[in-house]
Amino acid sequence: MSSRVVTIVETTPINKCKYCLVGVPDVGLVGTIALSYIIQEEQMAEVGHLESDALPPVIVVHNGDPKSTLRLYHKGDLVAVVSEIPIDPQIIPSVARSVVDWVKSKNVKLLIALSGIAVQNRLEIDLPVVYGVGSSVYVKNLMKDAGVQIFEEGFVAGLHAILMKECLKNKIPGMILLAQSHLQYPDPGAAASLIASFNNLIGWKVDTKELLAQEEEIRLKMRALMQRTQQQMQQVQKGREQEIPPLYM
Amino acid sequence: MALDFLDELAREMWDLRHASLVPLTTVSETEDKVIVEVDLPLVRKRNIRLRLIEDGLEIEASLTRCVRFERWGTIQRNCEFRSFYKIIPLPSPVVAEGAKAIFKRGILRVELKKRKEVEHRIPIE
Repeated sequence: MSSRVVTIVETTPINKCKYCLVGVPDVGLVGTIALSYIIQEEQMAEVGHLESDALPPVIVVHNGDPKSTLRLYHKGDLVAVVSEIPIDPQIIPSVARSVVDWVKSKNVKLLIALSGIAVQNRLEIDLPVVYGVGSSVYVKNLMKDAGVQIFEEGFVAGLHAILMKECLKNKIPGMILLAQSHLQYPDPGAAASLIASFNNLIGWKVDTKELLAQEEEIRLKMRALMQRTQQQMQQVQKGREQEIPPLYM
Repeated sequence: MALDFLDELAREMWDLRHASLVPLTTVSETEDKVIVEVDLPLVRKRNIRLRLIEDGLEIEASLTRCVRFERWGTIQRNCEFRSFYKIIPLPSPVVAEGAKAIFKRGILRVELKKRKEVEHRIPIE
């Protein structure tokens, strides 16, 4: 067995779910902040984790309990895949494949990857806009109905990019939601915009009032993770997201 | 070796001796300016002190309230952090004249003019 194989371990079996949300440390930590907040606010239950010899030898301790850094949460028809550490670019394809294979086996109707897109004038923006990349016309229509602007042209780099490739390969409806964000500072305001789009998409009512009230504390606590993530972002060619693709000029 | 690594990690994010946190910063350059950005949550404008020194830009900013990470780590949980502090090395020589700083939504942006190169020709006897 290759050391890069990633397996999903269900500690509590999940029979079926309709939606799968994915958030890992990336631009402005937007996906991680948004998904952690949803998990906390909705009191989603921890139901499993991802395992691989290629993952770093790190565990996280919460309330005195040791846990895997890449975990699964569940509530109703929603499963969330969240990481507390940046994903090494070497293992991104294996993680994406294993998540999409698992999603397929559970007959998930929509995979949503949460992330941010860096904008230079973020300080001037009160309410960050959320852009979306959809795997099909059906998904793009879902996004339009939810007030998500279609990301028309550009590069996308990171786990969510490979998740999208795997969704296309496996014909699974997938979307990437990208909120306008700071690149190198934790951005809870952008995370709140993502949550608003998520609410519109699947009809949940996650209240972001507390998230915005704790904005400064979150930024303070997430400095170290942001610094660690900056190093990983350089390796996945994040700079490309600011370039114009050469085709269709 | 292992202790050097730990020291480096600590230097990156906090200074327990002075009860200060190290802020996230970015430094960029244009043809004639050096631009420094500093993320300063829980800080108000009146509590920021900026100084241009030989080693770079020194920033000190007291927090609106003391912060203790009560459940995190081992020694860190006992420390009450009161401020941010960092000396930010600059990529080019700058001058203090004409420097501009704005503080918006907890992010400080400082623009410093680069020192113009003055050519001193040395005559050959």
